Amino acid sequence: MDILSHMLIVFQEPMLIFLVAVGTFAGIYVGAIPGLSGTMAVSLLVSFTFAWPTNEALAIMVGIYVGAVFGGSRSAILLNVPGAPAAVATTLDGYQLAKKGLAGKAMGVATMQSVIGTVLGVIVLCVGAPVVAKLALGFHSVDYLMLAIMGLMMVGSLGAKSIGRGLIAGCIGLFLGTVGVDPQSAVSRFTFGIVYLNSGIDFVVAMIGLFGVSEALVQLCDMDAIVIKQKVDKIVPSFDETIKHLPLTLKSAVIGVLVGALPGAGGDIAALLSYDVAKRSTKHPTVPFGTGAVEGIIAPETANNAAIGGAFIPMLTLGIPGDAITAILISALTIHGMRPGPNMINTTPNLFYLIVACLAFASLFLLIFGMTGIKIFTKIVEIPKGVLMPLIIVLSVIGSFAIRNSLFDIFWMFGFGLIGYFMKRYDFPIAPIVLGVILTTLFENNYRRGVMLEGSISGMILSIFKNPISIFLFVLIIILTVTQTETYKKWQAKRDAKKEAQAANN
Amino acid sequence: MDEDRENMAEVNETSAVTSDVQLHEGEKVFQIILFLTGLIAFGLSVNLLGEITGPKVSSAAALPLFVSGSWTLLALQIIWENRKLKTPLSGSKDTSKNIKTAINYAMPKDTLVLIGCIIGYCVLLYAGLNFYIATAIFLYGGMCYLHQGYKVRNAIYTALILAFIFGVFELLFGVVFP
Repeated sequence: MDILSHMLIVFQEPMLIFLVAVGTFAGIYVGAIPGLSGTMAVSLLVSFTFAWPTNEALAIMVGIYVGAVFGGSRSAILLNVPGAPAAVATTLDGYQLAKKGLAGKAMGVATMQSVIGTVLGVIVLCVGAPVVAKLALGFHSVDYLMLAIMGLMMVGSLGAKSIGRGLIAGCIGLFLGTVGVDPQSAVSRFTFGIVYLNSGIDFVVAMIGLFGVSEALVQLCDMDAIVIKQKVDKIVPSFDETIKHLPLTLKSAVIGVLVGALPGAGGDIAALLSYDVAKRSTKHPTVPFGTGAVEGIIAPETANNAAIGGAFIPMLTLGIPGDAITAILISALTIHGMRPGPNMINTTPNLFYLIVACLAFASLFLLIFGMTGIKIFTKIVEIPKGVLMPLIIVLSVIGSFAIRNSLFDIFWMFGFGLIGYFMKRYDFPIAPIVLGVILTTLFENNYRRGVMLEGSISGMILSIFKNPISIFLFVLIIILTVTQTETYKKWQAKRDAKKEAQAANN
Repeated sequence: MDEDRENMAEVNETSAVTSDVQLHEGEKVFQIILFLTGLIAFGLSVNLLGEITGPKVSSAAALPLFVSGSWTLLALQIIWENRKLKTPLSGSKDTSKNIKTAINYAMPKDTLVLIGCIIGYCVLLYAGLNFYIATAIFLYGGMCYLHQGYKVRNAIYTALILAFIFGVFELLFGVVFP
């Protein structure tokens, strides 16, 4: 009953519903325009909404998050250009359907599956988060330290060309996170006498630079990308078809939620993984995968939206972001005086259930906006890059200045933009930098607390084996490390080759 | 811009010929830069550790020392692992051409021009020029370079964007501009 009353708060404030609608609508367009991403939009919004009441700020950001994850599928289907990383897998079959003149059908299926995925993710969040939060209350400092390490490792292993590249990016983020006066000992770290740096690097500034400016600069490297015009007609999928694919939908939703809940892994990985699983497990697809199979849209679109609910679980219960957008949402909540963690559900249940309610409303608006305005849509995604990129730069300038009204923030933001640009250009992931900056406090405080409590580093390491949760996390880190080594990968490839050879002989 | 695209096309052609290419042009140099930056960060952390008088293992220098050390070692590992991998420039003996191609990949002309525009924009803002005027100059200048041949259309886009900024950010969000 309490839960329901917390969730109904949204109905008492129609403005919240309106903001979720605006956010979802804007998110769909932001996600659909290649070069603009939900991460960029939410990071820009943090600086514009910090003076707003928390509920309003959260409502619009949650709306944008849900809309942008879905919006990426639009340009993936119409232009063969994923508007957002989460839509990469959707291009494989979505564009093939569009080439057959079935773009409308593809977009309809994508909309329906995204709605179902979001709803299933919200249900899991609603049920799972309180359980995880209760469990997290028994966490020791060393457990949090291991969780932070795990978060960085997940990003390193899943989001990059190699684990080393992801970890370097994570280390850079952690190092940058230590710049400024240490709050525990008042020691000045890497400030070089610059007063501006005493308070540390503002991570919103870093985020805007890394995601906004760097993306704009990278987009300019491919100015010749051709925009293909598409015909759009019938869109709403039939009820029978939706029911027919329900098992695949459920399977993809489970993958989405689980991957989303892993720290650092978001909708992009969930979508690719579920596409791969669907390809392996669907015995009789409508047409072969990669040639316009509806199943090739159902799996990634369900998974990437289900990952949203999953990503909120570690964010709201452990204070560890599930993906890049939840990382930004943590900073937004911090600006509003909230501290996501195991106590959040108990101390501010209204906020937790507000997020749940906003997600539920966002899925409803997704259905409405997703099924309408497709013709206007195709025009907007055709905005020339030469117009779009300078606009992104100006929005980034406004966003970074708005935080502290400091010109230095603009210069730092551009600095981060350049770092992000070079890293992207040479296939180094940038999300771990942001994750690193955000995890610095959690990492450092728990490391220092652990060492002080146990008297030494060896004492802290030994304390891992006194607690079942710590042992479990330790084993997980070991598994993660081992499975990412070249030796393991070679062994796995050999084993797969053997299996294939055996199957061929039989 | 055309010359730049020709260069890029040349680079792409080279990439297509060498199908076993696994790294981008200049990527090995970037990895070395990453290693050197890590080394500098490590040096700064060691220096910080030297300045601390209390217990060092739980001091303010512990985390920077650990992460900068890891950063350096990981960069070194990547350099070692990639030493035999090929780039589109592998096998080419013309050093000056190689440098030019690598710089072209790292900083294509369009990107370089936009970075120049950004620096100019920052200078204008730092000099205290009105935000709307500086933004109009940046937007129109940037668009006229990147979206050539549409001077009137670019002017309309600029005006629309400025109106949007004024309406949404200044009036609706109450954002203060530089």
